[in-house]
Amino acid sequence: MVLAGIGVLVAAAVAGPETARWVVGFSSDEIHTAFPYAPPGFCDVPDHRQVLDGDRGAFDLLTAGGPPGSSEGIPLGSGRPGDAGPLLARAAAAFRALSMVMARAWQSGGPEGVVPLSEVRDALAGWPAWAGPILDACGPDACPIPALVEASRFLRLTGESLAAMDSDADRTVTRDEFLGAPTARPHLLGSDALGRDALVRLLEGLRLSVLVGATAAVTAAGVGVVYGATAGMAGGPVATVLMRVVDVLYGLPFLFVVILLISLVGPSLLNLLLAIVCVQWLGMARTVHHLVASLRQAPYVVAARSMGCGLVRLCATHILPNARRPILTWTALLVPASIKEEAFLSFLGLGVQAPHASLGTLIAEGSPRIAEVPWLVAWPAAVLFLLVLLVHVACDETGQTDG
Amino acid sequence: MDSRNPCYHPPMFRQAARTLLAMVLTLWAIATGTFFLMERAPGGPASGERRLDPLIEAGNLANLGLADLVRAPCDGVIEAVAGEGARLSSGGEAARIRGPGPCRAEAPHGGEVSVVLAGPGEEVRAGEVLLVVRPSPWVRYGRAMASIMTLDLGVTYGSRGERTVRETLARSLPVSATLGLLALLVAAVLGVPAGLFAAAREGTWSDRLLTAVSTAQVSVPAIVLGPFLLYLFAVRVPVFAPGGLERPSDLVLPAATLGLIVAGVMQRMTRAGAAGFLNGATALHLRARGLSPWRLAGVHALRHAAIPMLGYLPPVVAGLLSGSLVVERVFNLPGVSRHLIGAALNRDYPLVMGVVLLYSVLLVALTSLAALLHPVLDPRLRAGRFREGVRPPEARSGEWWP
Repeated sequence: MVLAGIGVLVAAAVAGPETARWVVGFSSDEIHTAFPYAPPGFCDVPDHRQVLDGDRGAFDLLTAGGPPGSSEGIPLGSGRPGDAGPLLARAAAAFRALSMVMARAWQSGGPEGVVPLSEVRDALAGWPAWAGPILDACGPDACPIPALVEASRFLRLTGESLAAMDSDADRTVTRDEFLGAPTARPHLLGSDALGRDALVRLLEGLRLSVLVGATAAVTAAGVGVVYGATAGMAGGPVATVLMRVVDVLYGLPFLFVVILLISLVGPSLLNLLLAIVCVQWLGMARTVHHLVASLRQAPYVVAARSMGCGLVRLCATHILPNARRPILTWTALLVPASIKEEAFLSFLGLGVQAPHASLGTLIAEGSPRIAEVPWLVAWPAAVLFLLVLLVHVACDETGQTDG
Repeated sequence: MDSRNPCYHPPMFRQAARTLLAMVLTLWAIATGTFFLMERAPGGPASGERRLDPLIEAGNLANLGLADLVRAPCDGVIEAVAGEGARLSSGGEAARIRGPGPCRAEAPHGGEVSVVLAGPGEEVRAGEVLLVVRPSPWVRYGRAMASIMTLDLGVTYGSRGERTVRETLARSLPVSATLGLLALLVAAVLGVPAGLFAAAREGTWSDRLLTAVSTAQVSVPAIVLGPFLLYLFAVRVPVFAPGGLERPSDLVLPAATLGLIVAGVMQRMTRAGAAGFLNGATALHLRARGLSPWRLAGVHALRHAAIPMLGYLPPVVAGLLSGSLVVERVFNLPGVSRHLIGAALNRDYPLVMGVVLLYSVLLVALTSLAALLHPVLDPRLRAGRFREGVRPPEARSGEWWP
């Protein structure tokens, strides 16, 4: 049951965000600024579809006056960058021309400024069918910017947002597909401060946490095994020196050294990984040294040695394979420790940086507003706790750890 | 009677001297490492990234003992000034000023001119900084060590040179220290009796239950437990304030967060240490002679459990310290760690160094204290003759920190 739980969490981490896009309809790059801090279960329409919601005339407007045959559907082009189909390219050009005019008016009059009617007409000169409804939103001789923004919304449709509606994948969005598109999907776990779907963020955070935790644990285990095995095989003064170094490093408040280092080199994913490895390899090195040093006395090792087996070969084929169980358990224990440390550093703002999420940053984002929006903290916290607990229990059950 | 004898164990005072020497060496290593990081810090005192105003930067350097400032001794116009990179001997002429009378600015110590703040022909007033002279690395190192030893940790960058690191730390240390001690108290009160109880009933359902709970306690990260307790006891049932430090009761939730986590570790350690004794022949003998089970568990087993516990002390203390970083943030306490994170992200090096040094000294001192206490608790070490089966406490794996 414990292993099944771990499996579910890892599967969610691996498949999570992409799968969630198909299940709940949200992806992390869609920002729902209209609904920050939505409670769990809140129904919302994904952003790119919201443009169309309540604007059912957009299809007619876009296709009117387009190239021949376009009244049956909006062609999407090949989908490669730079080829969005003739209609969308025209719409994008029109919107760009309009934006230039608006930007100029914005500079002189601020967000509530007005655009002279003649400039709007010039900008849309090539597209008379689209100019009509936009000009209708204007006054007799000038257009207020807010009204212009509102009236030109249909021009902002992009290839990606339309491609999501293309249900029969013929690279043409027909009227039925277009009108059937805006369906509300629930934010199963609510949404965060920027209106992003919390479930998708949680899955992304879980992925990054598991990834960083596992990578750091495996790397630290590798470093520790090599170091400890070297010391164990060498024996004598070399081992004394090597292990004394580990002892001294153990005495340092490593966590604070890590914080110091991160403040020097700046927080990034690689530095985070290195920082965790720096802390975690010491215990592994010690354990492996003890294991190797004791296994070296075993009769079969002495026998192999007396038959002329080299040190490296001895270590690789006789000693390490026999020490694999404790080593594997130790590596497994390094995973929750690394995940905890990653969450800890990210929580303090020294690890994963926005816009990426890890379980630590999610908890950090939510905890200042825990009174109003407890669910934003609750889910990442529960998942983090569960992840660490399950691995601990699994390691306990193998009976290899005494705590 | 000498160390070649495998059965010989050094007497207590020699063990103590060795521990103290190791402690001094570790602290020296930390201080030296701190110095080198300080020297190499990008954007820090020694380089140009994120450049501060040259005068402020020079002041920071001088405060850290990493540079000398040469000031104008009189009002006047600069006639000549040493160029960047020029080497000056101690008392050498750094600048000549034509004022009411001729006067020369002298370098207080030898070194290399690193920044020139005033050029020839400029008018200066007495006391104005003309040059920054960097002494040789060895002198810098010596000065840095001296200032660390005298607890003079410089001035925080954040306060624009107005508050020393020592003042800042002195103001926030009581909060953190109280929190840490309270947490240890909570941990000891909850963890040790539970561990003894579980050890006395080894194998029963109560033992399994307590062990399961301790696994959960050990697994829960402070960033999970802290917000959880906050939500439960400050939002849903508003017994305590949700943050800040105005009344003593505001420390209850933070101390409980840290204490509960450390209690799990303590319980496991106590159980592991006491179970072997309580199921052994000595305990049976003592029981047969009429010793009450309470006395057996509370006095004899406790002592047996305390010995391995000393070896676990470093990770526990490290866990407390790192946990306090989280807890002070979650509960918005004005403790030491508030300065650490903010300073680390703002590259306020003197402050970061101060906090790291403070925590290092705490950790090393407590670890050494544990090593010193070991022979006091373990009479086998005091006898000083046989060491078979008795090992000095060894720092264990650090997997328990929250």
